[in-house]
Amino acid sequence: MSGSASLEDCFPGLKGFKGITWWERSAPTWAYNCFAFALGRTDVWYSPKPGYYWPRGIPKGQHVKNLVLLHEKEGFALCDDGLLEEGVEKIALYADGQECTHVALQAKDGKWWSKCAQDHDIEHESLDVLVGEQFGTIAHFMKRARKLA
Amino acid sequence: MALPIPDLASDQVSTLKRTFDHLVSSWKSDRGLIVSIEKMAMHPSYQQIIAMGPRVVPLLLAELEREPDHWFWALHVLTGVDPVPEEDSGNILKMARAWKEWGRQQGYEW
Repeated sequence: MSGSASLEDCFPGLKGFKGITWWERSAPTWAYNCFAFALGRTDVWYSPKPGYYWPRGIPKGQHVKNLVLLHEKEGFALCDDGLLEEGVEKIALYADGQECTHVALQAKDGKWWSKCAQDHDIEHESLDVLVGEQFGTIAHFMKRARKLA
Repeated sequence: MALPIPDLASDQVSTLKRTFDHLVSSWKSDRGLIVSIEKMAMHPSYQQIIAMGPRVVPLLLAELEREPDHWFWALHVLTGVDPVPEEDSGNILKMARAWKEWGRQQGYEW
């Protein structure tokens, strides 16, 4: 993405640890965002705004309760934490106030995958590295049975 | 209803392009990594682009061709239309294609 701020500029927790506690998984792309990526889609940008993709039946708005509902319709249920469980796929919803800002997806080995807006999707060991000014704090964890590959 | 294509003198076009390019660069470098289309569109540079009025429509279409990005909010506000078929909603490439096709049909050149 021409002219975009770097990941390390936006997330100070990443600075200096590239290749140690976080890794780039893909090239930057505007084709999809974290909401799509966490649900296995790389072909659309999820947004409640006109012209963008938003699932039918989900109230239009980025309030975190709408994202909880959206994921409930995909088989997720609220849970207490992001600890790795056998056969379970977890997500972490970040929010700034009541607005959901990001969804991270847990990989099979317990690390987390995050599509950072129009930038790379990254693998990171800790969810805390993305807490801060850009994404706010972790609001909810949700889980569902991990689908067989 | 499509708005008329403004007829500008060449020096006005140069100034317009320079200002537009500066605002695009400012928006891209300053917006951070946000997923909210609304927050992207409310960025001061994005709003200044919209405030430049319909004369930037061909510049936005050219920008979509150069590097597709979230210019759809601005195009919708400036033109009053949304040419993107519902089945293409959210597919940035197809949205860009729909807008460029609409632009060509309206006689815009870029």
